[in-house]
Amino acid sequence: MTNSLAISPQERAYLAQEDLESFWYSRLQKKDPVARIGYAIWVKDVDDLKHAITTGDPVYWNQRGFAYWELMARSTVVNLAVGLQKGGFRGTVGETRQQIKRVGLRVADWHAQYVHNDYQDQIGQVPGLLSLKQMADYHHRAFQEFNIPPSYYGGTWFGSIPETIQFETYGHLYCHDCDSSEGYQGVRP
Amino acid sequence: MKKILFIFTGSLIALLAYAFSGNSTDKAPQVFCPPKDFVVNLNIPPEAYTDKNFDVSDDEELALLMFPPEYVAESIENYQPYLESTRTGRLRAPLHVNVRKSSHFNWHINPDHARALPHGPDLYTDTDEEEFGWRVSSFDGEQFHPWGRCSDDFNGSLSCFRDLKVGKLWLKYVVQAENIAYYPEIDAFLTEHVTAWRCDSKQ
Repeated sequence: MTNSLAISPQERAYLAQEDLESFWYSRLQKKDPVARIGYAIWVKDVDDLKHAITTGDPVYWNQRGFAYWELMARSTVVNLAVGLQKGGFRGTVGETRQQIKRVGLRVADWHAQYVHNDYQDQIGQVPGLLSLKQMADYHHRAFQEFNIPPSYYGGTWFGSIPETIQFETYGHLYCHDCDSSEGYQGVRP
Repeated sequence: MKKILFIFTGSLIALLAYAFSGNSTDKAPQVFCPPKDFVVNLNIPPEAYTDKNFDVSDDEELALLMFPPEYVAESIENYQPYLESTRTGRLRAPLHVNVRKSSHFNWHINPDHARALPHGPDLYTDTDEEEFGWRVSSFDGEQFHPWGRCSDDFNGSLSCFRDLKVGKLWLKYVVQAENIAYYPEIDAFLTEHVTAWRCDSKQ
């Protein structure tokens, strides 16, 4: 770790601006392990993700390539969509995307607060570096805020692998540079 | 594939339950026996343990509890179970409580630089306003007592991690700005529950 893992004023500004891609990219530069999936989910240009992985430290990327992290990101988005529905959320694809963004914001908010406390209190071996348990802990907090069942965290990196039918139903929610729902007929459970 | 993952996850939950039971190799007696309905099992995926990029976990935590917001609001008058935010919409406000054998308190605020927090009764900080997080103490009229940490919630307000000692246990819970004023009632609510859930109180 060459950079301090503390939350920087710039990272706070990114969160205040709801700019998740820049927030997680900044964390990626510090080798924050949670940033790998965070950036994979919120990056707008998929080539940027490919570039980050192919030019990055293989140990940091856990010896996994682009296909793996892209699948994890896609699975997470599908999982969140299903989890939101299980928790009572109903909406069009645009509304579902917006709600997933809100969950993403809360996850990032909690991440920043946990990193800050970890850094200030010198928890663990590396200040500012979270453990798997701390990461699971704050995801539960964020999920509970949206009534997403706790079981939707776990199974793979960030959620049980969705069923094929769920991929078919919700897979289009994960797409880069797409913020239009033009022509979409609505999510049908 | 899902069945295999389910088995893996189930095994992990069993392992975590064993770990939280206090029934480790040192034969330490189990001290905390919360009802399972209030216990959160963290579903950390088994394959995550192959990733060595994360920090190590300490073994000071006995359990993670979750009190649904509606349950808390039934007991604490004025507790707001739902919070409205222009940034993230309507959020539920359950009480998540980390039950630990120790705390990370290692500081005291400087009384000469103490300023009152606007959200809570008798709460003070000495941290610069521009900082992301502030260490907070309560004031009993004579001296300051470490209370917890608060930080910017990115929505023009703040959220706080409260550290509360109950007997030999340390509780850490999060309270948002809307409910900070009721922290004495939340403290009492948690103290009552956790005390009742001591293993020896059930014998």
